[in-house]
Amino acid sequence: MLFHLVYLMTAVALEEPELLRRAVQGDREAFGEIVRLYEKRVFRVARRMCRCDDDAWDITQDAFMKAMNAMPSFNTDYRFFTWMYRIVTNTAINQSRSSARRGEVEFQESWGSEGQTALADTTVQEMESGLLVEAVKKAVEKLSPALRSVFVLRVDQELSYEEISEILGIAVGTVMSRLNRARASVRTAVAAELGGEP
Amino acid sequence: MSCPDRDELMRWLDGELPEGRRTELEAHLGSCAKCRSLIESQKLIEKVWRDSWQDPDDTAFEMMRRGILSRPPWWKRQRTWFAVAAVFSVYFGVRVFFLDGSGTPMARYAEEATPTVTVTGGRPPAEDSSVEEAEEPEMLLEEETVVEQAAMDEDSPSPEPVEEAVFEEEILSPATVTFSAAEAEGTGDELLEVSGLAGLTGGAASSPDDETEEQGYFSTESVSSSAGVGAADASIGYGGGGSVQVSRALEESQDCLNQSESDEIRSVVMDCAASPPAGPSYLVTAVFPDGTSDTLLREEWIDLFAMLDSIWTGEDITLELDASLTEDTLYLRCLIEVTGY
Repeated sequence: MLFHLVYLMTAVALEEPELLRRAVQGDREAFGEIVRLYEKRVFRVARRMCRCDDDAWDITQDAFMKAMNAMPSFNTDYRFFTWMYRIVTNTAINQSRSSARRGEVEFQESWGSEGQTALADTTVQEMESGLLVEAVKKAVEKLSPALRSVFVLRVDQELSYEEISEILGIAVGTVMSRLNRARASVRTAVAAELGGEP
Repeated sequence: MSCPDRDELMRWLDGELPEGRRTELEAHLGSCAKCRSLIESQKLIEKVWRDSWQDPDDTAFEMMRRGILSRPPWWKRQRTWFAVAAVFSVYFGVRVFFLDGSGTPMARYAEEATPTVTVTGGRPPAEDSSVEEAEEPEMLLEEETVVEQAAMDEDSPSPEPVEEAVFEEEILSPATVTFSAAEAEGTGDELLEVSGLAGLTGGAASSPDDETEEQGYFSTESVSSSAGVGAADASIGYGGGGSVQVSRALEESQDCLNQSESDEIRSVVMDCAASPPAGPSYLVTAVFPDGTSDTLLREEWIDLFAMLDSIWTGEDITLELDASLTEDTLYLRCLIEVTGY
């Protein structure tokens, strides 16, 4: 199983530059293969960034369409996944802002000293239940797009600060400050939802 | 050692702390239950959220992939947009004179020679987007956020522009549409010139073409545009010969409308039907950023306007179409104003 996985990853790594080269030249089939390689990751980011599956599919498709259109100008010296992450996060952020402008979404953020302390023991016990998952989902949804994008890329995608900085085009220091604010806000919201101390 | 601040604990959790500091902090964690508790609860929150993910079914991805790859290239869709705009302007002119030519509101409107269609060219500057974001307090986290976001948007290969900012760009003066009535509705072969209706043909300015187009509702022997359209052409490299290109793009557009786009247009129309405007003006926005829904069939526009016409029979209707170009997207906005409602 492990051997198979390593083999698969190696094959993808070897295959990707060639696929990218062909896609840049307008090869639709090659681009289709690239979509296949990245679609689940891209969809996951999109879904984590928005509130429903329909929006996530729209964002994902939109992001790939943008990538396809911009493919002729893509520099193959750069990493595709960074570029693709940037497109999907920008698309999701814009979508969130459009929704906010239409009054469909309201962002609630709170952070401060209450986020500095640990969740109380009672809340920790509740974490074992599905309630916690729902509470965290709700809390993440309430983050503003700017904070949510950093939170998703770090916590869900487990990217490094440097990678997030590159994707979002912001300084590493800003990544850290936004991440801290996002985490504090999530903790506070989760505690409030579950009735415990933050 | 006193307790490190939370930021530092989180950096340790993320594996982003420098080696020396990491050792110190780990030593502290061994003896501080409070910090350990913070780390453990944070880990748990993030783990349950991460592990709650379930990939959708593969067939959904397969469908999405097919949808992406079946889309025509952007340059083809862009031409189609222009074709749609051209058809709209010409069609409306034809309706004014041939279909509603005797005392109907549309005819009265035409007599007033108010510009019906304005064509905007050029690209919305990035500053517009950032300014608009800055004006929205709920979006504004801090000053750096706006600046950074603007920079991020500029770097993006094709960021979605802010709709409202698009249409204030370079409003071009109304053009003249000249068309022949030879084969339209059997009304004769006189040549009519409609001042104040801007026609968009995508061709070089003031260069009538001899090609005759058969579009079902009307026929044009020559369609020329005299104001500003040439500038829009230049900005997207859409040059060439007048109605010939329009005709070709129209043919290409026939298979470009997918189900969701079609449904979206229909829903706009049905909304209009269900809730007539409460005031003197009503805005129907058909803005389809590239890659989402970007092509309307000629018939869809015709259906839309025919239906609106029937809804507001007896009212004065003005229609205004704005078109705006970005690097890879043509945005259309239709303003329908009902006066005397």
